[in-house]
Amino acid sequence: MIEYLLFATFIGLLFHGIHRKVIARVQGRPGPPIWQEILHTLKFSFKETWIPKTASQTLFVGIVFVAIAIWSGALFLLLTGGSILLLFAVYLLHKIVEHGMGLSTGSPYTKFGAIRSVISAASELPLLVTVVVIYFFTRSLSIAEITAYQEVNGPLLIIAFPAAVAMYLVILSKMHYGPFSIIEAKELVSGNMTEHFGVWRAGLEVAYALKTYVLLYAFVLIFIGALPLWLTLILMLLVLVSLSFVCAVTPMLSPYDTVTIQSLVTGALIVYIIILAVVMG
Amino acid sequence: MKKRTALIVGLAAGVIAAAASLLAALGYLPVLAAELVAVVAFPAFVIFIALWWNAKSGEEDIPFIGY
Repeated sequence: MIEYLLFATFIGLLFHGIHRKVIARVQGRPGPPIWQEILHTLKFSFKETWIPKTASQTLFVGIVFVAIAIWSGALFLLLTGGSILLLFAVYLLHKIVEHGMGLSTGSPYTKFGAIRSVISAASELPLLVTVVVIYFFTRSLSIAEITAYQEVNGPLLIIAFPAAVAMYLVILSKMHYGPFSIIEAKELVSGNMTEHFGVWRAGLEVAYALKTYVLLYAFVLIFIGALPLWLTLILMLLVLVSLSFVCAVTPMLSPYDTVTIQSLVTGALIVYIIILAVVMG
Repeated sequence: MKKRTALIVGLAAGVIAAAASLLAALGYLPVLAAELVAVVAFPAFVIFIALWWNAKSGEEDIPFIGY
C-alpha cells in the first residue's frame, strides 16, 4: 500500500513541476526544470523548522498529518472503486484542512487565506452537481460500477460532457497558480500556507501532490474509464497540460468573481439536469 | 524531539505500513485494514523521516552572537 502512496507522491510532484514548466513556456519564460517541485519539497524538509509562538501547536502540526492522511485515503478509495460520495467527502475535508491550516497560526495572512477558503466553498457545488449527473446516467455512485458502465456505454466524457466540464472546473479550482487560487494569492504572501515552513511545508507539498494525482486520476477514471496505468498517466498528463494552459493565460480572479463563476457553472449544470430529467424521464 | 526519536518513529511507521501491505498481499490481513494502516502510518512516516534528517546532530558551530 505504501508503495502506491510513494508512487502517487512522486508523480504528483512531477506533475506540479510540469505544471510550472508549461505555464512558463506559455508565458514565454524558460521556467524551472520539471523535477523542481521534487527538489522544492526536499529543500523544505531540510530547512529549519519550528512552530510560531502565536500558533495553536496541536492544530498547526496535526493539520499536516490530516492533509496527507485524507488524500492517502482518497487514493485508496479510487484504487478500490469505492463510492464517489466519499471522494466528495474527502474534498470537503480538504476545505476544512485549508481553513484549519490558516486559523492555526495566528498570522493575519493565513487567517485571510482561511477566510477565502470558506468563501470559495462554491467550488464544491460543481462537484456535487457532477455527482448528481453521474448518478443520473449510471444509477450508481460506486466508482467500480461507473467504470463498468463506461465499458458498455462509452466514456461519460462524451455522454455527460457538461458534468466533465464541471469536474474540470473543480480540479482547476485546486491547481496552483490558477484563476481560482485565491487562498494562496500573493497579496497574502502564501495565503493559508504562509507560516507552514520547513518540514511542515514539505508535508503539505506531499499532501498536495497526492491531491493533484487523486483529482486527475478521478477525472480519468470517472469520465473516461479504467485503463492500463501507462495510458491513464498519459491522459492525466494531457488533462494537466490543458489545465496549465488555462492557468497560464488567465489572471487570478478576485474572490467575488471566483464565487460568481463557480456558482454560474453550478446553475448551468442544474439547468442541464432539469433538461435531462424532462427529456429522459 | 531528539533526532534518534524522530528516526525511530519514522522507521516504525514505514515498517508498519510495509508490513500491513505485505500481510494483505499474503492474505493474512483484509485489504481495507491494510489501507487504513497505510493512511495512518504514511503521514507519520513522511513527517518524522523529514524531522529526523532536519534535526541537528549537536555538532554545529557556535553562532556569532555579537561582542
